[in-house]
Amino acid sequence: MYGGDEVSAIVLDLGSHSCKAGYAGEDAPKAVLPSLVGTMDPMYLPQEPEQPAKMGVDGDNNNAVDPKTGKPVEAAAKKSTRKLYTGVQAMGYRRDHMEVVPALKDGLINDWEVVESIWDHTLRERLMIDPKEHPMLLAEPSFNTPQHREKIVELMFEKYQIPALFLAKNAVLTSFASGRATSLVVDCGGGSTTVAAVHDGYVLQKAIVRSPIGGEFLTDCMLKALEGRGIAIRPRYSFKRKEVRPGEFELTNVDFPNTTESYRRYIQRAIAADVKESVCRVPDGLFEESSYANIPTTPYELPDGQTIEVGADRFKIPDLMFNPALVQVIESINKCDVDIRRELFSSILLAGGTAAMQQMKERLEKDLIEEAPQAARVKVLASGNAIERRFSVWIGGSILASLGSFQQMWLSKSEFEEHGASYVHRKCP
Amino acid sequence: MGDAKDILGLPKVADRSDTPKSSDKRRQSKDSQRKPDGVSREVYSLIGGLPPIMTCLPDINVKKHLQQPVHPDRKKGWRWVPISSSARKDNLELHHWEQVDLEKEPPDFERSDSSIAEGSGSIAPIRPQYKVAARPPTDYVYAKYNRTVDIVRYTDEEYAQYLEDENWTREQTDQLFDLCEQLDLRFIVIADRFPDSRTPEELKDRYYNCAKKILESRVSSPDEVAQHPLVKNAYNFEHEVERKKSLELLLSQTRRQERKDHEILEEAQRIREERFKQRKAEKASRAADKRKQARMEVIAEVENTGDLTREGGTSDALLGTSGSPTLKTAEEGEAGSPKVPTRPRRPAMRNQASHASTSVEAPATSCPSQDTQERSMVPGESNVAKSLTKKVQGVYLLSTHHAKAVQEYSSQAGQRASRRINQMLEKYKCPPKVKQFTKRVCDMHLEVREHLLALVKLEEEIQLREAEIRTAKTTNKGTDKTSPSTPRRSQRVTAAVVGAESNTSSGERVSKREKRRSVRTIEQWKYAVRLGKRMKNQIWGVFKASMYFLRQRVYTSNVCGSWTPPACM
Repeated sequence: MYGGDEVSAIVLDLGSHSCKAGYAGEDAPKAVLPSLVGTMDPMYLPQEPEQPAKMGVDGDNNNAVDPKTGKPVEAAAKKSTRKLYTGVQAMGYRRDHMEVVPALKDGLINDWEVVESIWDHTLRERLMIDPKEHPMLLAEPSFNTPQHREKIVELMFEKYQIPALFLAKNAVLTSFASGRATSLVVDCGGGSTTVAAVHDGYVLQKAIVRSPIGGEFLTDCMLKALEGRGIAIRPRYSFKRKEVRPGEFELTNVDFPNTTESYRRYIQRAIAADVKESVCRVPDGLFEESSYANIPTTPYELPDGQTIEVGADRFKIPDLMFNPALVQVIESINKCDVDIRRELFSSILLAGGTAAMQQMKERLEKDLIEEAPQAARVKVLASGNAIERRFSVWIGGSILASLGSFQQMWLSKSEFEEHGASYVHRKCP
Repeated sequence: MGDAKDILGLPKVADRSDTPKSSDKRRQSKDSQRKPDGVSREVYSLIGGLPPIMTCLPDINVKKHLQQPVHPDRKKGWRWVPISSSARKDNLELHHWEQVDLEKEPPDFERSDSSIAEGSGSIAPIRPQYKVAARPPTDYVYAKYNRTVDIVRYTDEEYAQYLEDENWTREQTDQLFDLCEQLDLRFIVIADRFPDSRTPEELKDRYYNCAKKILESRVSSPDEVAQHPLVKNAYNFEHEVERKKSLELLLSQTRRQERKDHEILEEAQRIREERFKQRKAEKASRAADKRKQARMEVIAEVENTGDLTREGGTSDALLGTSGSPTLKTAEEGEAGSPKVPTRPRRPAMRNQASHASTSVEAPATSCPSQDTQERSMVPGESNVAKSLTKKVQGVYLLSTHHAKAVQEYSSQAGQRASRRINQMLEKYKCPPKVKQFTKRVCDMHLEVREHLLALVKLEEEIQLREAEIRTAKTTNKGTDKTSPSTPRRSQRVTAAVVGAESNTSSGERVSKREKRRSVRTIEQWKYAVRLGKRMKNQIWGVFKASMYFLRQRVYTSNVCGSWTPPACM
């Protein structure tokens, strides 16, 4: 690779919806898992020293679970005694009294324990590496606070003993993934939509505009719309399908009264998200009830066998995103210096899972051309591949960490020990 | 592609001497269509899914290099080696795979002995061991890309002496300089990260001023740093602020507004055009009305008086009907009616010409569009000149205008006629070219020309008629030749032929009728000739009168010209 030098760095991107991890230099992350963990209060934990027969994996590191007795070691704080189940497999298995807790709140790290368990699981079980040997490139939100950054640095160096670290902002990585040093990044992620301007490889923090409408919000809307139409989305654990005759299925309801609400919601959301991803399309203009009333419906088969027809909702729900998105873009650009506005208009990048919806790019371009100044040329760029749009932050990190001229920018362990955690602000601007 | 070469152990330097050109071309065209093999599909589409702009020549001939014998003792291999980069100040040890020279280790006989001694049984073949050959320590390849900007830093004394400013505290200036160093003078980002809100222009202003002052202070004479870019191109704060403001204005207008503005402007343009057309139409209708009115007045006048002498305009009537003889109809009544409408115009002119001495001053030529109507009433203006002035808009020189009018006249008249006119003018010692160009002189001159033209034409007509009469008489006397009533020459010829033919083949009755007819036509011709002569005399009279007036004008306007009134007049 031209200009590339692989030092076997690891790229970790923790988002509101999913966590992506993999080796630098590759073109897609190896490990993608939801940024949620299942927690169980210790009083529900089984007291027998059995090996967990579940497919679940222990994500609990804080208090050493005595492998022989299986009893959690008593710790001072009650919170840290809860058991965490991380990973797709662990989360997919239904357990009584298991609550689902997200790792991030409003885009920033909320629960450090949960984050640690996710990282542990990712590095040790999914990637199967020893953190001591690999420098780490972490992707952080563009609006990350200094306190968060310092905490991350401390955690990484002290707990995982990594040799070198770098914190890069999401918007910068997306920009690098498309080969540009200056661009306006519209990141339509799971938890929120962030519009950030990148100039010469640095994010302009005063020009970041956020809105809480993200992929998960749209999923909730879809869920509500389906429920409003009387379609009950049954979680997978709540029914059994038996093939009575070839082609015919019999449905029996299985009841689990101790399943928590949050878990049920989590499973239902997963199904609704799938509906959304496969069926929804961005409308070409502003959504109007009348014009889309007679649109032909698309069928979708739910896991319990029932087929639902999705009609106008297909277009109504993605349109929710556009009311703020357009305003955000214009607002963000207007907060920037006048000199770079033209350049920003002509390189607007779309990133994030929600941006992978069909016709998103065309609609955004059309709306922007109306509202943009006459003198500026508007161009919205998005890679054609849906996978690339989803993982564009990770891909940018992969590119950055494998560049030869990047190797001088790592924040090494010795520098951390010498100057302290606040040195990160100098090294990783 | 480079990785593939590394793996195969092939050199990267091009070996072009033995690659034939045709294979290059073929390979090039093939490469540009398919995606290259060493790149995966996803990464290829990352760069846009297009082949590189410059086609890459295949550097080396793979076969040739693989055929080269490899020294068994010298070998290249890949090792996970630590990197040492001069760009890093600390001792971070990063590793990467590198292709290094390996050299054979001397076979370790002790080892082989011990294995035999342990009683493994089999004598394992001694595999040669390789170790990394000693190599000189080289710097990391990419260390040279670690470029920084040289920031001018100041000491405390320098600050106290030169850089004091009321808007900037020491702390802020320090912060600014730190950020400049950290962010390599990217002022937009610096402005973004600066703790207090300041515009990039202010920051630039402060930084460049300080740097300049420091540089100047460090040097004994200002000439040494005069070429330094910091000193040579000083930062112009006001200009930058102005520029940014106007750029902001430019960018603040959105496309929607632009479209609306455009629509409004188009609408305004359309309204303006419509109004213009309306005004023009109004003017034209007004002009037509005025002309009609004047005509009605003159007709009324003529009908009142019914004076034939004022019908001296018949010559002009002749002219008015495009100069061809009206006598072709040979009916006075018919000839009379076309004369009537054209006649009143000329008498109106003539009346006004007689009052030329007290006539109204011609309006200025500077506003022709309004005056084209009035100009038609201007005394003494001829047909052609009138049409010319109607054509012209805007300011023009009378001399050129007059020349054009004269040219038009001569073109209308024909060469012979214009020669005759010039002859006559000379005869009466009237200069053919006007020397002083005032309006009245020009108009009079044109009038004279007109009359002369009429005169000449009439003379020609008369000659023609007389000739015809003579021939008719001779033919009448001789034989029963008849000629049809139309006096056209061509028809006369055919008539003569017919007459001749009819002579030979006709009966008596027919010939008698024809005879009678011929006699009638001869009478008519004779009358026409007499009338023509009368008209000619009248024209002469008019011509003399106009000459007189022309002289009068020239005299009374005190223009000293080389023209003297002829003794005969």
